[in-house]
Amino acid sequence: MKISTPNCDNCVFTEELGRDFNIRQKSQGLAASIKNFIRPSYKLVEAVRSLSMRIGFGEIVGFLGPNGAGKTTTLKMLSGLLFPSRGKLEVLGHSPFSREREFLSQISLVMGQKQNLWWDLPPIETFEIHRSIYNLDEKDFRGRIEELIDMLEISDCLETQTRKLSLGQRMRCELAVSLLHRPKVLFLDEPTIGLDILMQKKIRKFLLDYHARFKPTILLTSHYMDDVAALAKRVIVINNGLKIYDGLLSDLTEKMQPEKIITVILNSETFPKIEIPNVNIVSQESNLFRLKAPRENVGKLAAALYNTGLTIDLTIEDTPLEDIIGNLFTEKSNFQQFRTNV
Amino acid sequence: MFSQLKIIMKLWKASIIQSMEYRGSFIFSIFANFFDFIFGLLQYLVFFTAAKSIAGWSSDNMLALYSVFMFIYSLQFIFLYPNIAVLGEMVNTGGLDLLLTKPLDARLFVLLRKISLEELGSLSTSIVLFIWLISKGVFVITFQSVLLFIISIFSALIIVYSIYITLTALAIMLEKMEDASEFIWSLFSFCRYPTDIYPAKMKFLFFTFFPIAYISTVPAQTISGLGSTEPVIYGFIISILSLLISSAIWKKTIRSYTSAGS
Repeated sequence: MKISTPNCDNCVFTEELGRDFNIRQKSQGLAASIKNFIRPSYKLVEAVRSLSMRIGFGEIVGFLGPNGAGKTTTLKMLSGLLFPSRGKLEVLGHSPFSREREFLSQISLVMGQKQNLWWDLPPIETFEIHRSIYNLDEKDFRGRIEELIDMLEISDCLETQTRKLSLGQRMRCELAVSLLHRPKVLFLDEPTIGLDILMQKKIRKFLLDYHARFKPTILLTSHYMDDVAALAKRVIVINNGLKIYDGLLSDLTEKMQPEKIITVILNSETFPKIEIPNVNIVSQESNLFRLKAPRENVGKLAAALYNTGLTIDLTIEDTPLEDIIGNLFTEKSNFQQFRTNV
Repeated sequence: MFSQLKIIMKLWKASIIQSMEYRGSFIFSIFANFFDFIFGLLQYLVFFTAAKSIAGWSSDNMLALYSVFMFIYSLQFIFLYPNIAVLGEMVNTGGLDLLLTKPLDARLFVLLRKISLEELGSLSTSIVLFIWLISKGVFVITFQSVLLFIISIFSALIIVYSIYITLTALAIMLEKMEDASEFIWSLFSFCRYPTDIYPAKMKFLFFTFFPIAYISTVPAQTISGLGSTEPVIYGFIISILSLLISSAIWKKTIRSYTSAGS
C-alpha cells in the first residue's frame, strides 16, 4: 500500500481507512445448504468504513465500541495482519502491510484470547525463542527478563509448563513475552479478558508502570471500562466502522452525562429550600434524598447543603462509565444526539 | 537468512522438548514408523517372489527407489507435515495472526516451525538401506551420477516444498482443510512405485503438470544408472517453476488473508 506523504509527527496515522469482508450467507436447513453449496451468496460487510485518526508518540489511547464495531479489525490493519480495502495507513512511518522486518520489530500485538506462549513448554523457553526472533543479545535479554519478572511478579511460574499456569499467570507471562523487545507501539486487544478483579488491577498497574518507564504508544481495546479509565486519558469511540468520538475521556463523560448524582442523608424528612438552578430530587426514602444536579452546580449544592446544618452524610457520584458507553450504543436517540453534540 | 535458520533451529529444539513431554507416545511413534518402513520393504520382496522385474525395474532397482522414496517421505514428515497438520486450527483460533506479526519470513515459519521426530526410524533405516545398496554395488558411483543424483534429490525436495506451500496457502484461504493429509498420502502412494508402471498418459502427467516422477523415480534411476541427464534437468526446471508458482499463490493468499474473528 503506497502512502503519499510520510507522516513523521504521528506514531499512528490513518485517513479514511476502511476494510470490507465478503461474508458467506446461508439460510437455515438442508435445502438452503445445498442451494448455498451450489451457488454461494455473499454479503459485503464494511467492518471499518472510514476511520481517520492520529496518535502521537507515547500516547495511551482507549479504543472503544460495541462488539462488531471494527476495533479488532482496525488493530489488525495497524499491525499489518489485514490489508486495508481503502484509505491511508501509517504506523511508525511504515506501511504496516508491507510487513517490513524493521516495522514488525517495533510493534507488539497482545490479544487476550490468543497466546504466544508454547502450550507444553515453560514460559522461559518461549522467552528464549523470542530472544532469537528479536535478535536480543544475552546481556540485554537477561536485563529485560529480570525487569519484567520483577514488574509482573512472575518469578514463580517461569519454569512451569504454560498449560499448568492459571489464566492470570499466563496473561502476565504473555505480556512479558510481548514486551521483551521493548516495542515502540503496543496494540492491546482485551488484555484483561476473563481475569478476576485483583488480576485486572495488577495488569493495569503494570501497564501504567511500564508506560511511565518506557513510554510506548499504546492502543487499547477493552470491554472493561475500568481498564480504559485507569490507563487512557484519550479515547476513540467507533461504531459500525465509523469514528464517533475522539477526545478526552473526561469530556466524553461530561458530554454524555452532564449531571451528577448526589445522595444526601439529612436529620429531617423535609428537604430544605436551596436556591440553586436545575437541581431535581429524583427519589426520597425517609431522610435519604437522591438528587440530580448539573456538574457545574454540584460544588455549590454540596456547600449549600452543609450550610443548612441538616446534613449527616453526602456522597457525589458519576454514572458508571460502562453505563455511559452502553447507553451511547443501546439507544439510537442517544447515539444520534451524541453525534450531533460532538 | 542465517538468523532465520538460527530461529528455526530454536523452534525445532522447543518442538523436540515439547514432543518429549509425552514420552510414551514419542517412543511408540518412532517404533510404529520403523515397522511401517519394514512392512513397506516386505511388500516389495513379496512382489519379487512372483516376478523378476516390474516394468523393467529389478528388485535391486526397486529397493533403490524405496530407499529414495522413504528418504524424501521421512524428511517431509519430519519437517513439513507437522506444520500443515495444525494449520487449519491455527487459522481458526487466530494463532496464525500472532505468527504473522513477528519479524520473520512468514512462509518459512508457517511451514517449518515445528518438527516431528517420529519418522526418525524410517529416515535412519532408509539411509542404512541406501548404504547397503552402495556396498552391494547396486548404485553407479561416478562423479556424474552422484552430481546428477544430488541435483535430482534437491529438485525433489523443492517440488515437495512447493506442494506444501500451495497446500498451506489453500488451507489459509479455505480456513478449513482437514483432508490436506489425505492428499499428501495419495501423492506419496504414487511415488512408492516407478512411473514406468503407469499408462503413457498418466506417465506424461507425472512428468509435467503433476510432477511426482521427479520425487522418487528420477533420483532412483539416476543413481542406479537407468536414466539419462535430461529428466534431471527437466526436474530441476520444473522444481524452480513450482517454487515460483507456489510463492505467487502464497503472496496472493496472505494479501487476501481475513484472519479469525476477535
